[in-house]
Amino acid sequence: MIRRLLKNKKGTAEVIGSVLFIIILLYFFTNVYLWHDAATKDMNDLYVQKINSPITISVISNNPFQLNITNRGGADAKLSILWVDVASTTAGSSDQFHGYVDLTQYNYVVSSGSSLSVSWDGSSSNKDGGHYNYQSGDILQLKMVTTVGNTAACGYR
Amino acid sequence: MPYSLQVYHQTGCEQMMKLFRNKKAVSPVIATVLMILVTMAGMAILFGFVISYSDAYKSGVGSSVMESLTIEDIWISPPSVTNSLYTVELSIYNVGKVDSNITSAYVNGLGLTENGNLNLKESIAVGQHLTITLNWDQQFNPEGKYTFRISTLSGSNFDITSNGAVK
Repeated sequence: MIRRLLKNKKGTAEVIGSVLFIIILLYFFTNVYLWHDAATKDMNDLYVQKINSPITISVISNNPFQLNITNRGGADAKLSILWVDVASTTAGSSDQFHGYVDLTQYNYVVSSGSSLSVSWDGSSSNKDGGHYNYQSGDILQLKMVTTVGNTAACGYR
Repeated sequence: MPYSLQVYHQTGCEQMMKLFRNKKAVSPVIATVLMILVTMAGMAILFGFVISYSDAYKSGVGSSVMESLTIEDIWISPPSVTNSLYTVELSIYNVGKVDSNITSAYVNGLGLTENGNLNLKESIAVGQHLTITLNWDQQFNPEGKYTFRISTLSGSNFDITSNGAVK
């Protein structure tokens, strides 16, 4: 019976056509799947790097400012920007200034498990062209951001 | 009297004419050509659809997997004399692999509205820092806890929770 079945050529074209059609469809959609897979892996690498490079920030001294950045993770952290928020010294009134210092140009890299001392002259600017210089008694919140998006903040008064 | 028959030999031209006049097997040839044409047209349409679909997916919803935004700073200004709305400045950093378009922002689930010089729906390139300015029609409590959310065109959401103003 099997021999008879094998000898019967009826429907062979349909089978071959269907197989080819499925192969062509798979070829098309594999393209999308492989792209999605590569994109997901790429982003997973970024998230792994982010998880493995948490930082902390503290102020060592203020004349000039010495900021101690500690990388508590297993991957290096590159510093991107320092945000400076200046709170009002008068209770109940709104904050005074917020600006930033772009650190990308300095290429500060905090190695895994180590600390880095970053000098800051106490000045910052904002997108509106405003400028700030630290004055004794100012209440600050300093927020450091790394290139993978990790942040660390500390207060200073 | 015997007749002598003249043997007639067809010329090459006449043979060709005869071949063209012969209508046998024309139908199967046309059928085969038509079948190939229809198959090619069908595959071309399918190919075009799949390519456009995959391109749209990669640049649209699919690109959301490659988006990663960090809200690095929030600045809230009190209402002015002429305007009863708080002004919220959100500073955003694109740490992802693709450019993002921010379409909306929320505070504790309530939408922030567009400011006069708004830059919502503005593209933020990879590695770029962008500050967007929005209006907020709620009362701000410096001691309150607020969750800020930004949404992108591709459908990604990014949150940050603030524990109150700098003291």
